[in-house]
Amino acid sequence: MKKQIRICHLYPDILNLYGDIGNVITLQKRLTNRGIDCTIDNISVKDTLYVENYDIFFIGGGQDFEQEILLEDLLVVKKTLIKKAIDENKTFLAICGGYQLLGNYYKTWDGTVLEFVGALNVNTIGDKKRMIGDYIFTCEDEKGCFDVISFENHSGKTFLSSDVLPLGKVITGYGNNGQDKTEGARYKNVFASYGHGPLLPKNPRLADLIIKTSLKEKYGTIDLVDLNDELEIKANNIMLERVKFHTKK
Amino acid sequence: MDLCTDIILFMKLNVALSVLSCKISCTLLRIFNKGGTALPGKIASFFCKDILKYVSENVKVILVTGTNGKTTTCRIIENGFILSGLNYFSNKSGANLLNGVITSFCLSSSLSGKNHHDYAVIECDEAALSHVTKFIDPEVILVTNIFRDQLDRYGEITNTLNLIAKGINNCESACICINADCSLCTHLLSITSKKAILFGVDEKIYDNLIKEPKDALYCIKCRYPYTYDYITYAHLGGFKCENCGYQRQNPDVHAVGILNTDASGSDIEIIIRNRKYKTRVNLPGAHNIYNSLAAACVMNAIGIEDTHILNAIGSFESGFGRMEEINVNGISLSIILVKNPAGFNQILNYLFIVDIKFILIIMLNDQAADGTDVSWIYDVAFEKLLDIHNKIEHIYIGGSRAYDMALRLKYADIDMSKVSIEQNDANLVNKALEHNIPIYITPTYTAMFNLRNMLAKKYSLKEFYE
Ligand SMILES: [Zn+2]
Repeated sequence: MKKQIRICHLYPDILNLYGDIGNVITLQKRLTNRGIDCTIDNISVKDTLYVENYDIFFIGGGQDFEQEILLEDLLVVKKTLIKKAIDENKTFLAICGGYQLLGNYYKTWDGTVLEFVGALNVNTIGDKKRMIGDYIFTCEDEKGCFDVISFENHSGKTFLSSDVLPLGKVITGYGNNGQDKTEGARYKNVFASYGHGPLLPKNPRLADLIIKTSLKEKYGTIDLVDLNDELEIKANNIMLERVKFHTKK
Repeated sequence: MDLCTDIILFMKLNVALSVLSCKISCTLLRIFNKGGTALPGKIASFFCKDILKYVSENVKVILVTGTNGKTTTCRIIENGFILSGLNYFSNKSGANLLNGVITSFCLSSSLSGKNHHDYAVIECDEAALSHVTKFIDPEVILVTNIFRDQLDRYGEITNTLNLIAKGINNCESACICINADCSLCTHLLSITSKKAILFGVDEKIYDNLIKEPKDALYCIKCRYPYTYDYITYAHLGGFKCENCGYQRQNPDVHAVGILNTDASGSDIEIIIRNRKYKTRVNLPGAHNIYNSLAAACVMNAIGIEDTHILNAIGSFESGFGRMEEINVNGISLSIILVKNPAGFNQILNYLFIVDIKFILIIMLNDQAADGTDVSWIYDVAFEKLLDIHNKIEHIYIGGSRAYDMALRLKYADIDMSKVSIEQNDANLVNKALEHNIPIYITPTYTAMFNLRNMLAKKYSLKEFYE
């Protein structure tokens, strides 16, 4: 039987800051190019969420104004469903604002505390200074370590609790908080990152790690054929070289 | 001499020094072939910190701000000024921050600080507006539109909105010209409590519109989703909030009918304060209908006759990378600057109505002026190129982020055998020219400057320089 991965894109009309959609497109193409069916459902404010219908959940970042629009729907209606999905080992990719929203709370720099979903045991503290620029962190898959290059743009500093692992280790740039060299979060099958916008297109190993996680959960086995990633790797390497070189100077 | 004349003399000396230093530094920069427009303004402020106030006195200033279309709109307004014989000066798009504006004013002033022009048409960056209006009390402020733009520079869209509001609030008596179809723009009227003249389009423009992420889906006042009677492009159109009643107001200068829109322009029916005319917008695309209406709105505000307004729109020829068409070895080469998703999606809408086979060149740079974050290319609907793949002979990609751009096309399912990367600008254009068919080039800001320099040198297109 043909395998199928069903993606749920949460709040795509609201949390669509700067090319987040690139991640969903990448997951879909890398699945269909291997003969695995892939469906994408958009679930936004007021839409009913049936978590059992999906294998991968994607949640992106938004502007403050936009995040306020969905907060009620997220915290009153979808919060328990999202927690349930994570508990049941569904695969999640959460980017930037979406990452913060899955955490316990966001404390603004003037002291206001916004309660969030609490599915990830991480807390975010707002800072006046923005952490912005190209950055590099290392990630690990079954073959070992690899470099991820992306762009970060956030003023929230996120701190992980002991039951949450970082997604990677910061090589250059800020990552979670600019202090402890951690970047993003790994908890059960959740992948979270500050790699804003299209994190996956030029980081194919990370994209495949997420795909493999969902396949293993659903089918118990993973056998992914290699794709021609010449262009992906070139785009990745050019920026790695540039950012590393720039940092050395 | 008493103290009072002493102070006056001292001030005059300061002004003279300031203007002189600005003029000299500009000349020096030009001699050494450095284009910079910011440094001379900075030097001028060093000698007299409110120099801009002195050199703008007695000049009627039009300030043009907003995310897209500033430069084109300024040039159309200038065309109207020329036709009506008004004496004016303007700044270049590269000089639209405070120091650049100071430079432009000093260069057109005498050493006594007196400006000999009656009018100034000044393009002003959204973030710089409040700095500029600290010194200048303009006749007119035009806000063309507000879109999501270079997040790394401007931050969130509400931030841009607040910066523009702050700039408007600095002004006493300015007439505000605003895009009626942009729910973000008209919100400025309630946060500044200013009266405005509105421009807009009363019906849809394209039959097939690019699907793009909307920058204003939810009511800016109460966060309820807008309903639309029609959409012209992006979030522009007949918006209405069913919850709080915030909605599009009827414009004073508006297109009531889009009679025809083709690859070279559009025929529209325009109403200027209840007087109805037919006219040609001599630039292609929906965004240029808006630019023309915006310019018409400003010209009407300062009392230019309708006939001159219509001529200014109908006879306008573009320049400086905003759909600029040049001829290289008999091949037409159109350069269209791209800055953000809304702008690029407009170009895709435009390519749909082009009825010939062509070469597409995309040049993506990531310097500060382009935006250092190139994520935005994923918000451009390149998937739509699949619908017109028969018209596209080949796509060439250049610029410092060429590989990111190529990857974007790959993930849009574009046939990659029709895509080539060439990071040397001269080779890039050479290869494109070999096909012997029209070429459309979409460069980001700094890529456009490099391209223009290369073309000017290599093909000695002298007239190509401004
Ligand atoms: Zn409302």
